[in-house]
Amino acid sequence: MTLLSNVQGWFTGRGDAAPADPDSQLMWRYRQSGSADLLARLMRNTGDDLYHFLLTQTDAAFAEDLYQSVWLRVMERRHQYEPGSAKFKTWLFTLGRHLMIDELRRQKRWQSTDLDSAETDPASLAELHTQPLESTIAQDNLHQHFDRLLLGLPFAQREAFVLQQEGFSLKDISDITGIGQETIKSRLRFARQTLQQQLEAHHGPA
Amino acid sequence: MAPHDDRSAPHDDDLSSLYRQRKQRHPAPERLNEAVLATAKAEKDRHGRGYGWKGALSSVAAAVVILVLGMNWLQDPVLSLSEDVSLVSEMADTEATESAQSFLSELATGEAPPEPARSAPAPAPKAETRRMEPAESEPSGSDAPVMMADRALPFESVQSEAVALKPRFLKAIAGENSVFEQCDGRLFEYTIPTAPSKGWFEVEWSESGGIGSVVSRGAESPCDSQ
Repeated sequence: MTLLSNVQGWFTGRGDAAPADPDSQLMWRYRQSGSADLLARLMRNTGDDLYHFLLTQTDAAFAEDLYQSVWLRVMERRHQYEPGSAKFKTWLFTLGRHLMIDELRRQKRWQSTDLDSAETDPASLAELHTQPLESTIAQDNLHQHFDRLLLGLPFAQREAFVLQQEGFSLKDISDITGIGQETIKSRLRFARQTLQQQLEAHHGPA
Repeated sequence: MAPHDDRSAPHDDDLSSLYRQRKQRHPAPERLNEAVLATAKAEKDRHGRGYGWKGALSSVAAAVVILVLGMNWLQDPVLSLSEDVSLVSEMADTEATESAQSFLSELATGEAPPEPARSAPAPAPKAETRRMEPAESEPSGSDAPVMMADRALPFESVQSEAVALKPRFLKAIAGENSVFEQCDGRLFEYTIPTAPSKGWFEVEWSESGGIGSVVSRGAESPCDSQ
């Protein structure tokens, strides 16, 4: 990076691209200082969200390894964070998803059809996805039933649903996954329908 | 972060509630956070210690250099500064270095410096060089008149030259009692009170370089007998 671009980045970083939300401000400060205390605050604010996303998409052991890898990547690439281009949480989940898919591919637990073939038959496609967490969950409990249904969703639907529940907008989800917003809408619709229908079938309408 | 707006399904709130409760049951293990933070602190310390060590070393080195230069300058400002100039520009020629020394001396003392001692002998002034050279350009044995103004030299210089040359035979020139003609036709300036008023004479030089004795040799040139 040249001096000129550094100067330009400095000005843009202090101008219209200044982070608005608290986590992005923290990340901006962490980018500049590398303070472990700031990183701890970021982990405290967003760590549970990230871990749950990874856990829901993979399994416990995998999620733990990924979780640490993501934060180490945040440390390594903190200078690449541009508050004007994405909020911190969006950037964090994008890093996490990329690492997750890379690792799934490396372990040959990922197929390119996983994202595309998940729309039609969630029950049968559940086997294609990563090993679900807590496969022995008892079904006599609403929460356990919800867990089982969520983990039974196809990877892409589950991903879209979790990201939506984490507060990401359609655009954010599209940015994180690299998938168009209309496709995201479709996945969300399938995911909600499946969850609601299955929950109502066993526990009645809320 | 604004949640997605497309949430009109009747049971979305229930799903969200179930989701939040599920998330609360699965927080990130604290040991993972601690491991990451330990790595972050170690990384930060490593960088901080590395930069600190380098910075401290640079500062100490700079301080030592400044201290040594300062002590040298206090001991002998002119010499130290001159040495500094020599260190800075080893390739500079002698004239440039001497100019720098003079300049620095003026700066240090506020007055013009004395002429620096030279290891090599100073080149003679041009006038002196011309006077000491054999007059090859002048016609040998010429009787052409010599313009004395061309040879108007300080007496002391003439005397030392005479002592150095010590011509044996000289010929008196009419009207001149301190200018004589040598065998090769060149003029020789030296006050010889006992010199004859005309004709050739032979000079015997004393050990001290002065005139020992003068013997008249007549009008005939004795130069061939040399």
